[in-house]
Formats: sequence, structure tokens, C-alpha cells
Amino acid sequence: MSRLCFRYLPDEADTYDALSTGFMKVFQSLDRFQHNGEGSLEAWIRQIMVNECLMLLRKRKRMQLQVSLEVEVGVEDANLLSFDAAYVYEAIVSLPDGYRTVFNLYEVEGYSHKEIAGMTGIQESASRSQLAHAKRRLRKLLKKYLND
Amino acid sequence: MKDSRTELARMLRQLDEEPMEFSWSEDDLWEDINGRKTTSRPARWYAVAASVGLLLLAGLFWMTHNQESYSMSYEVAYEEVDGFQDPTSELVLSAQALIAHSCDNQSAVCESSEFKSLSQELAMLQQQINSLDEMIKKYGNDPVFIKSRIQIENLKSEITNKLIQMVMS
Repeated sequence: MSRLCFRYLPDEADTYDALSTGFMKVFQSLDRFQHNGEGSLEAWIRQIMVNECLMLLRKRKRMQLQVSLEVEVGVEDANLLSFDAAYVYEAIVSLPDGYRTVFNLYEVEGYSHKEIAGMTGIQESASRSQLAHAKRRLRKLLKKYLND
Repeated sequence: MKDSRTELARMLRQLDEEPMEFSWSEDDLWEDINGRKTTSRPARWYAVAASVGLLLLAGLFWMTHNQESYSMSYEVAYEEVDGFQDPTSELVLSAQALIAHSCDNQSAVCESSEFKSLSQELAMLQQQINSLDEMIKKYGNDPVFIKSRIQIENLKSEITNKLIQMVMS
């Protein structure tokens, strides 16, 4: 779970805080966990950890959207798949908070823009826009890695 | 698009499972979690209480189980947990019986706010263990359950030691 938290909070101290508070919540709410087959426990713990990371982001007032004047164009997801996962991870961690959070929630955790809006307190349209910008920035970063 | 989103998620989730280098270790994290579950108290005091408590527990165990023997040797070993037959449970139960018995005669200590707070904490930990046991029965020995149970049992032992200290003082 350390890597998961670090994907949202690229700061060791924040990751530590989110993990320890998250695991406390896991213990305290174990009786509310409902087993729905293999992998459900891990999914449940992931959900608690992601929530904890989002709470910490809000607490640190870091869930601010990045404003960009770039014109939005479609970004092909397949481009990201041509890179090694470790590179993608590094690139995600280096994104600004708003881009990174929406990208993680949408692309990795599989939440819809509507759900992300509810979780983060931003507009659905803003979530779409942050995602598009995040992908564009990621593509740039990954190309740079490739050239280096 | 959906396929590539799923594939990317799969790649990154797989990466999440791999360990990462931090300046802190996982042991630090668990110690911190343990510390938060109990109210914060000086570590040295805890160590003293734990040592005295362990001696008391060993003495109690010896008196109740080995009355005819002249010497006792024991060792502490950490082994793979199978079915959660925790060998210390019996000792903890004996200790709790001792606490209950002492409280019948020593109401002042048992009425103190610290004693009550620790007793409540102990009851809460026991509830968590019961919940975990039920889930282990239902879903098997998931490593997360095993690790959680061991951690909670350790906390329970620490608090029991502290309560024994209080009633014996």
C-alpha cells in the first residue's frame, strides 16, 4: 500500500501518515467489511487508503486544480501503454496535485468523473479537463524519459 | 479506450504490490499504529510494566500448572500461525481472572479513570479479535487477518500487563 499512497502523496511523511491512519481505520471497521470473493479484501483496503490520501490532500489544501490555457485535444491512452510501468509511475508522481489525483482516481482506481467530482469536490467537467491535461503532461514527461 | 484504461490500471496496480524504499521501515509504521491504538505513554514505562507483567504472568502460570516441579524453563519462539491457537491466550485469560479477582477487593484502583480507560480499550481490542476470528472462520487465513490479529493480541498483552501492574501496586 506504500506505493499506492505515494502515487497520491509523493511525500514520505504524508505517505506514512496516510498509511498509519488508513490501517487504523481498517482495524476499526473490520466488522463492516463484506467479503465478495477473492480480492475483495484488498479492494476494500485500497478504497480506505485512497480515501485517506484524499483526506490528507484536502487537509494540506493541496487539492487545487491546475489551470492550463492549452487547447484540449483527445489523448490516446495507448501511448502510455508503450512505456514501462515504472516510468509511468515516476511520471505520475511528478505531476501537479490536481492532475495526479484525477489521473489516479480515473485511470487506476476506475472511478467515473461523476464519482471523482463527489470525492474531491470539483466539477465533473473539471475532472475531465484535469485528466486530459494530466495525460498530455504524462506523454511529454515519458517522451523526455525516453530521450534521456 | 476502455481496454487500454484497464491495462494501464492493471500495470500500475501490479506495481503497487512491489516494495518501495522509504527512510522508514514497515516496523516503524506498525509501532506507530500500535502507539496510536493505546494512549501515548513513555516507552520506558511500558517496557518496565511489560517486564514486571511478564514475570507475574510466568509466576502465575508456574503456580497453577507446575506446583510439583522444582524448576521451570521456558523459551519464546515465533512460529507460523496455524489456526490462531495463541499460546499466550491462556496466560492472558489467567491474568484477566487475576485482575477481576483483585478488583473485587481493591475497588479504589479499579475505579480510577485510567484503569477504566484501559479496561475499555481491552474490551474494544477483544471485540476486534472476535470480529477477526469470525472472519477467519468464514474466509480463511488471509495474511492481512493474521497480521492484524497478531498486532491486536500484542496490544492486548501490553494493556493486560499494565492493568496487572495497577492492581498489584
